[in-house]
Amino acid sequence: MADHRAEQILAAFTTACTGLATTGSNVQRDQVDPVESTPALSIEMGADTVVEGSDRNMGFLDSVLDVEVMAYVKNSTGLSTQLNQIRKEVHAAIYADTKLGLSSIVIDTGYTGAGDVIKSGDLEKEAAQQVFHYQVWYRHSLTDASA
Amino acid sequence: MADTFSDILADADDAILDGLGETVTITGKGTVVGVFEDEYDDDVDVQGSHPMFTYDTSDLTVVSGDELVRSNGSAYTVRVPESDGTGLTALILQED
Repeated sequence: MADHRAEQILAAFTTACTGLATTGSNVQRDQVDPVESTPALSIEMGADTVVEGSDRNMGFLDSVLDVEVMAYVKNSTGLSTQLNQIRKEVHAAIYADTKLGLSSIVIDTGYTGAGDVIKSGDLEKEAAQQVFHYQVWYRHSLTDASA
Repeated sequence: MADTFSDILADADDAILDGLGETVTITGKGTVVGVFEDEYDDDVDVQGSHPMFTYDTSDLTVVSGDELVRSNGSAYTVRVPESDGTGLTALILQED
């Protein structure tokens, strides 16, 4: 049985963000422990909200899944410059196909902004993290979230 | 007059630093003996370490921005000198 469509979307999102010029293969899901290698990305699942007015009588639900892309960098200088470069690369990767290769599931994907740059001077080099917010509109069956 | 507790502690610090410390160079200022540490640390969900060098404050005046070079050639910039108030200063370092 297929995964919940939210899981399929997160997997596709992770694939789209893997192999980018700056972060390369340093991409993980559900990051819990501090990242070892930087620059890096982590794909995090946010809220998954049913769209108001979604027509349950038609047998399906439209939802909006929040996806948070966390970026981590560690450098002597230029933290925000590197974060902006990563953000640019993620943006291009997602907007290359806003259906994430899941045209039968995803209606659209949109960028909704970035969080504050959170910096630290307590490590051997300056480090920072920033979140990039995306929303994915998708549809699934009222009775089967994988279909 | 008998030594105060602080005097005894300062003497002990001197003995430990001189006996166990390493000599580093503060570029443009000279050499100083102290203890270098570089323990694991993490912050903003990023792994790293926390390099610092502790020495007798009276040996040399070091300020933010000075460069510290170890005998193995590793170089660091002094981010913040933190005095402990008892005669020792910990230099918080950043890798160059």
